[in-house]
Amino acid sequence: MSQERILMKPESGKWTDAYPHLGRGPISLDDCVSPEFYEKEKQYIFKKNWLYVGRTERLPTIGSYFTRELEILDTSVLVLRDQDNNVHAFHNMCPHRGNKLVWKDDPFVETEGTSSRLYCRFHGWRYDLNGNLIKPSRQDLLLDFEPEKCKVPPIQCEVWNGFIFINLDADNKQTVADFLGDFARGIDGFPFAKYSQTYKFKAELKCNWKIFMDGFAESYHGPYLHAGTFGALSALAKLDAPNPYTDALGYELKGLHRMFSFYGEPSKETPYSLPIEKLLQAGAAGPWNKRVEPVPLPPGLNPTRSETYGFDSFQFFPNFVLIFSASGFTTHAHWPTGPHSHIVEVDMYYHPPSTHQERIAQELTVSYLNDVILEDASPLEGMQAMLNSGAIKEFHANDEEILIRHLHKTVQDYVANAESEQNNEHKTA
Amino acid sequence: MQKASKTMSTKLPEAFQDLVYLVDEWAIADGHQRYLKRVNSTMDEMKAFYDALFPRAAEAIEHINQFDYQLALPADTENLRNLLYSLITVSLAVELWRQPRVRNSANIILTRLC
Repeated sequence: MSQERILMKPESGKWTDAYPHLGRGPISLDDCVSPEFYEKEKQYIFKKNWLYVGRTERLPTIGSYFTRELEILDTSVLVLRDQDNNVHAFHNMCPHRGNKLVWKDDPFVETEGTSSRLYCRFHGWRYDLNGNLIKPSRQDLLLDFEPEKCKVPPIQCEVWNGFIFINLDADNKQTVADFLGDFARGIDGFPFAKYSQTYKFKAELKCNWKIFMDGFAESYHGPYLHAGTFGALSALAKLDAPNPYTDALGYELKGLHRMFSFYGEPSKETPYSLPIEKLLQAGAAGPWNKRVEPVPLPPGLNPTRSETYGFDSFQFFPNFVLIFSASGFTTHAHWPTGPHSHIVEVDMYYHPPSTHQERIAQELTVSYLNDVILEDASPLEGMQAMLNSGAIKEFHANDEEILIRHLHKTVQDYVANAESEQNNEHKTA
Repeated sequence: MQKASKTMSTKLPEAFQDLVYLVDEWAIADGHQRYLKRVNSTMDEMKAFYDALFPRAAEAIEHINQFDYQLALPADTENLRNLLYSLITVSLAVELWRQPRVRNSANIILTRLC
C-alpha cells in the first residue's frame, strides 16, 4: 500500500522548523563576494558535480554536436551523439598537441552542427565520434606513438529524461539520477519531449550566480519589486499579512537540492489585466483558463495538491533550475564567469501550438517573462555592487526565504567539507 | 474593388492594405531584433504603431488563424503575423512600463536566441 505523501507546513507555522539543522540567524554573504571563495567553488563544486549542459533535442541525429564554452570549468566541452545514438562529452581538444578541436571562426564562441568524424584542422588528424584516433596525418613521420592512447579526452556524460549532464570529476561514481535524488524521482516520466516549442534567452549579468538564483527562489518579492507587473498581488501586500498569491504553497529541501511550489493557475483575467492580455487571452503565466499539463501529474509536481497551484521550481545543485508551469517547463542554467558575474541561460519549452492564434498568444507569455526577468536583473546587479562594498557581512533570510538560506548554507558547507577532506588527505599522505 | 486591386501591395493581405506603411519598419521576423527595435524607439513612435495596429489586431489574428499552422504562411500573411509579434513586444512598453525599457532595468537586455 503506497500512501500519497502531501507536503505540509509544520504545525508551528514556519517551514524552517521542518529543518532544524538549517539555522535561523543571519547568513554569511562572503560566498558572493570573495574571489578566494569563488576559486574554491570552482574547484570543489563546479569541477566535481553533475552539471546540466543542454537537452538531447540539440542532438537530433548521429553526429550532431554542440560545444559549451564554460569559463567556470576552464575548458570547452564538446557534446555529441555517436554512431550508436549514445551521447558523449569531451574536452574540445585534439590530443596531438592540444589544438581546440571544434569551432568556427572564433575559438571562444559556442557552435553546433553535424559531422561524421572529428577533424583537427591544425594538422589534419581525424577521430571517430567516440574520440578514438582514426588516422593521424603523415604516418611516415610518427615516432614512439601509441594510437590507442591518443584519444580526445572524455568527460563523464549522462542523460536524464533528455537533460544532458557532464561531470568533470573522472573519479565520480554516482549516476545523475542518484545525484538528483528524490526530487528527480518525483518528476521522472514527465513528458519533457512533448514540450518542443522552444524560446531561448541569455545574458551576462554583473552579479554572482547565487544572487540571481536567490531572486528566483522566493515569490515574496513579487508584490514589491514587481509591483508594476503583478498589480493584484501588490494591492494585497499592503495588508502586511499572509498573502495567498505570493506566499509559497510549499517549500521542500532534499539534500543538496530544494524546491518550492507556488500559486498561479489557472491564469485568468483580473481587474489588472492589460489590453494586450485581453486580446490574446494570455498572460505571463500562460494561456488563460487553460491547463495543458499531462494528466495525471507526476507525484513530485504540485506537492501540496493545491487547487491554486501554478508553478513548481526545482533548484538542483549547483546551478540548474527546472520550473514547471501550465505552458510547459523552463530551465535556468547559471554559469559563473567570475566572483561577481555570471551568464544566465533561460530556455522555455512550451506546448507546441496547433494554431497560429496559440503561437501568437505564446509570444505574449514569452515577451512578458523576458521583461519580468529584466525587472530582476538590474536590482540584482545593484545588490552585488553593494555587497562588494563590504559594509555588511551577513544577510537575513525569513521563512519565505528558506531556499536562499539553504542554497548558501549548502554551498558554504560543501566547500568547507571538501576543503577539510582534502586537508585530511594531505595529512595522511 | 477591381480598380483598387491594381494598386494593391503584396506586402499585406487585401483587408489590411491600410497598414502596408507599417510593414517595412515593424514586420520583424526575428524576436531579438523586435526587442532591439523596441528599446531603440521613442514612445511616440511606438504609440503611433500601437494605435494603428491594435484596433485591427483581433481581425488580423482571425485572418492568420485560417491558415494551417503546420504549413508556411503566404508572404503577405507572414508580414501581418510579424506585425502582431511586434505589437506584442511594443504593447508591454506602451501598456505596462510607459517607457521603451523595463522600468528600473538600466541598459540591460537579454539576448533572444530563438
